[in-house]
Amino acid sequence: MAPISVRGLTKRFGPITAVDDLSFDVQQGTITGFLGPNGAGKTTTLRTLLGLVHPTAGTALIDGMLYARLERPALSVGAVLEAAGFQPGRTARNHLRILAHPNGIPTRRVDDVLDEVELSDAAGRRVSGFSLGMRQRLMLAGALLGDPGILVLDEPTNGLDPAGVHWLRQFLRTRADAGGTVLVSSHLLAELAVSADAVVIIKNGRLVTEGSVAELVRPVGASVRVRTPQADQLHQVLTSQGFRAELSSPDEVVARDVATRQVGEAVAAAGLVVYEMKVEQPNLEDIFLELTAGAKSAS
Amino acid sequence: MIALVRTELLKLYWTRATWGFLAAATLISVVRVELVLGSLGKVGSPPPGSRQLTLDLLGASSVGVLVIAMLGVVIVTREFHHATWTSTLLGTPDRRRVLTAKFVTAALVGVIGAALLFVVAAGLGLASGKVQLYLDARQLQLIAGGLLATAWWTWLGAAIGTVVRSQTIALLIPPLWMLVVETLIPAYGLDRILPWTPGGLAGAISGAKFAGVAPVWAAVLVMLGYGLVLSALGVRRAMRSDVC
Repeated sequence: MAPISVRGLTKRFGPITAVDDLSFDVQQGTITGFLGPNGAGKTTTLRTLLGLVHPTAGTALIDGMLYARLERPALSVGAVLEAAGFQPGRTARNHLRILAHPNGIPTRRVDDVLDEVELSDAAGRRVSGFSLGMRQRLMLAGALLGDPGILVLDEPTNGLDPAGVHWLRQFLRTRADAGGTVLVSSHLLAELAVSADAVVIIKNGRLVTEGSVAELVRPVGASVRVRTPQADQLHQVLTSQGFRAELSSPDEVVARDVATRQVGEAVAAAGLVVYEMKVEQPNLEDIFLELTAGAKSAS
Repeated sequence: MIALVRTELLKLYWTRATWGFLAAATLISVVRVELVLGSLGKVGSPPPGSRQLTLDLLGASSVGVLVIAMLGVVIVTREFHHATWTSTLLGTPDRRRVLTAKFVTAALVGVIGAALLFVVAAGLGLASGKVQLYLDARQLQLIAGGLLATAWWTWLGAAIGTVVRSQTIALLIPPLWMLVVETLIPAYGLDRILPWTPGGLAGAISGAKFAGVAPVWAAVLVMLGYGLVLSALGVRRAMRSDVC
């Protein structure tokens, strides 16, 4: 049983279908990036998983159970959500003590998690004076109180500076390497998903693709870009040998799904001059943009 | 449930607004008590040291109850206002339990708040040297009824907050009801329903004497009914709503 399992999840808000028959799993010990443009249904999915939103159809389960059925949820799942607020006049430590209490988490754990997110110095300060980044860390501290095996984070990099993003990325990596499960949503792929093991990409509430990052990148294959004064000839040679190639400019040919060796041999056989030849490996970001292209950016 | 009520009490303890509401309630009661003491010797006011004066004095503190009832509203609406409802539900997904804990907490706060106001009123009276505490059946009923009625008001306040959700609107309901609607009822010739309004019921259990006053047992039953119906409506709304 996967730690997180979403099956046929649908959520309609009046006439709007926010999530549409969505299914995916998140495996233990991985960081899974939950990606999609703004308004794709990421937040609705995560909030349904956490029992905050009632699904119209389908299920979103944690360790095979509905969140609402978890006895002491903080011990299983920690969540960092957008738009979850703080009582502004309360100190960081008291905020956490209030979260710890109903789940029977001892007060000393509060200082541990403040330390873990590097907020110990601000423990006695009122949250109203906190920067966005500090609030995100405090939210993360709250998620860690019960030392849960599963972390669910919705756009956690919002408001973090580059150093904060780097810190969070390493933090999540350490949790996952220790056997934890991390599901993290983002509309900015570059920030977090670069360190993800797997991705789930959605658009307009529907699943676009899911799988390990390695699997996603492979089928697209590499391209070889060749700069040559005899671009026309090279284009003809390559296409006549059955390769997919195109003239990208008067002195440049791009060959798809080939190895440099194949291009080099074709060039030598035709006796052509080559100034430069380079491999272009598609990255996850290209794939993400390609897969989600044309999505309206709502929200 | 005990852990949840304790959590709610901690939340109140660590919220500055709580102390603001209690201070405002005390202040209003002090002003009213001083007015009663200040009118001594004038026509129509009870003689110093009389039982009636003690009753007037303890009754005067009840205006502050309105502010305590508003604190009951805030126990719930604050969560929506500051969007802490999300983290509360993440910790305790059972919304019915969370709200029940809030209603219980509100009632506790009502008892504590009313006790505070009685102590302040009695203290000022005794300090003036013109008031004596008799603690006879009549006065004990006033005190017991006052504690119970305030607990009920704060519970209603919390239930109203659950139904209405908007902090501003919900906060306006108790004062509008008590200060406007209930004072207008006689003017519209609806005296017959007066004993069954929240104010009339609170009066009934505190031993107030007026035309058509309900018997204590009936008043308590109707109060329970009001509280349960409002609470059920609030819980139903909370159970159905999506927390986005």
